[in-house]
Amino acid sequence: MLNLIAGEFAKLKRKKIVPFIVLLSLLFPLLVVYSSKMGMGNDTSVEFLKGRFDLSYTMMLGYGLVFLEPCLLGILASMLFFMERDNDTFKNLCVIPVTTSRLIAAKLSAVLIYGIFYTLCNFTFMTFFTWILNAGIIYDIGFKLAFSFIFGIGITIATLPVIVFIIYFNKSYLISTLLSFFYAILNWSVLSIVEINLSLVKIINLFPTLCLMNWSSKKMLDRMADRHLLPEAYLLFPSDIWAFVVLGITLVLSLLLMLNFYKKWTR
Amino acid sequence: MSDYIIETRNLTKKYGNQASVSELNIHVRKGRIYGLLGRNGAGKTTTMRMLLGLTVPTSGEVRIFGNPIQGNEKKILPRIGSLIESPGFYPNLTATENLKIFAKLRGLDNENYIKRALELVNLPYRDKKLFSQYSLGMKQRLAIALAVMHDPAVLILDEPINGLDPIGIAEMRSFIRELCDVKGKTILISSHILSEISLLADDIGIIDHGKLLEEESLAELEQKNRHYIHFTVSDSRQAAHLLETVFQTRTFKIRDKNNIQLMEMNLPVASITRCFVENGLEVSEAHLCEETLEDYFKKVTGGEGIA
Ligand SMILES: Nc1ncnc2c1ncn2[C@@H]1O[C@H](COP(=O)(O)OP(=O)(O)OP(=O)(O)O)[C@@H](O)[C@H]1O
Ligand SMILES: [Mg+2]
Repeated sequence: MLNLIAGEFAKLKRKKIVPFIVLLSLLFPLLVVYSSKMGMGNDTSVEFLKGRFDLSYTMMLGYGLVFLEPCLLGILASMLFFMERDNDTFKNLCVIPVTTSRLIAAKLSAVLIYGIFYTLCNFTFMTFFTWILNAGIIYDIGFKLAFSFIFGIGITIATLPVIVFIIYFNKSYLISTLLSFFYAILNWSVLSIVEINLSLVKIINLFPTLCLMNWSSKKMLDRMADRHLLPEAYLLFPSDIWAFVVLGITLVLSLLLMLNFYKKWTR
Repeated sequence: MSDYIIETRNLTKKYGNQASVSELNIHVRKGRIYGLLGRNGAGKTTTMRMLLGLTVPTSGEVRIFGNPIQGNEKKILPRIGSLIESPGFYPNLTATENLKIFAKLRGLDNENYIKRALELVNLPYRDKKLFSQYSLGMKQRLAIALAVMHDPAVLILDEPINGLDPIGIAEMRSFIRELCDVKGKTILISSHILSEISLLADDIGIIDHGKLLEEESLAELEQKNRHYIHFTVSDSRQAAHLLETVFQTRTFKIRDKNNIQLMEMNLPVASITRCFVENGLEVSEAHLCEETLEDYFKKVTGGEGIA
């Protein structure tokens, strides 16, 4: 199995996606930290500066990762999943023999590793820029790092539905990229609908991405130095169990569908 | 247990209503080269895919090493090397990197396997060239390197000489011959080129429209590759009588009222003709005929020919 996963990484050699991911994980934190620095004003209290770092961190998770990462991972997954189809290498794997389910497991593991890697890169660069630009006090690194890791896993699971669609449509990279963007836009729009009408608040947490986002916000808030939130906002937050169940169902359902679709077109 | 390494029993594959392979029974013996000969679309690739479990048969069975392939893939497949249709590799990797991926999955950790396989097919080891920059023949060679890399006991090669130049073809032929003769490997190759198969194979199966028309050894086939003397005479029955009584031979065939073919070649044509004339027959034609393998294949495939 390890060889299979290593193989998936080897197959991406010389593909532009890897440097692109690193570049993006560099640019976005810069943007976040910069905007957080701009809004800083003259307050120099420790509490406030810590708050700025927290703000950068939540912005990074909330905007950068929740919406951007499924896109990126979707594109990456379409590369990995179309690779055998486009190069007619599936037969070479089959005669080794490698089973479809193991191949899918390897490809998803590669996506997961990239997901975690991307999240951690983002966090590292965000911290680095905060330090360089002097945009807050860096603290509670251990928790934030660990949480980034968990978040990376969560966001990868939340991306699985897109991957299911990508496999189902089994079309070009372009269509898959569009699908990934569409997923991000869908999430945005669901979120904005709820902002208009707070009574829909329960629906939003049925969406794995948004559920993860809200759950993360809750975890962060529990930790954060200052909490100035309206009580209504707490309605948004899913319980741990809820988040766990939503992501769990997403995971199981996606895996089953993927296996089914992938098998269909490799026959 | 049968002595066949590869055996199919009523193997059938239908796509919709159309049968690509139907009721196929082939028998590949140990240590021999079996040539599957057929025209485009005859069902060679479909057959080979079923042998490897890449395509599930509609009905029938494939047995390799005496066991059905379905359910025994883990045991059987590692002992087979295969090349099916076009070479499939990752275009953004070099030859060595490509082979490395597959070698690792096969559990071959030693780089020497890769190096030796590339040497065998005359490709450079650790070349910088990417697979996408390879020529057709080079891609084909790499595919063969992949097939032999793990030193399998059985090779299944679908049109292995596709895209090779004449020297490459000759090299490939002696390479395959050597794998069989020196290393005792059992090899199944397919081709639509008759001369290729007749130069290489020990046993031949002719497949057309998914059906196996003939299966025999090359030696047997070559016997069918007969020479004969064709006579056109005024009365073929009388000629036959003369051949029997005067020349004591029964190896002839009366084609019709005027045409008769004599299979025995060591009788003097001149004295036969003279004898015919002396007995009042008119001989309008006497010539040597040769029915080549190709004519034979034309005949078995229904006159469309294989080339
Ligand atoms: N996936 C498929 N779906 C439908 N029909 C198929 C499929 N694969 C093969 N066929 C049909 O099966 C028949 C046999 O095809 P096959 O590829 O086995 O021929 P072949 O002998 O390998 O020919 P060639 O010499 O051109 O390689 C053809 O009529 C082809 O159209
Ligand atoms: Mg073919």
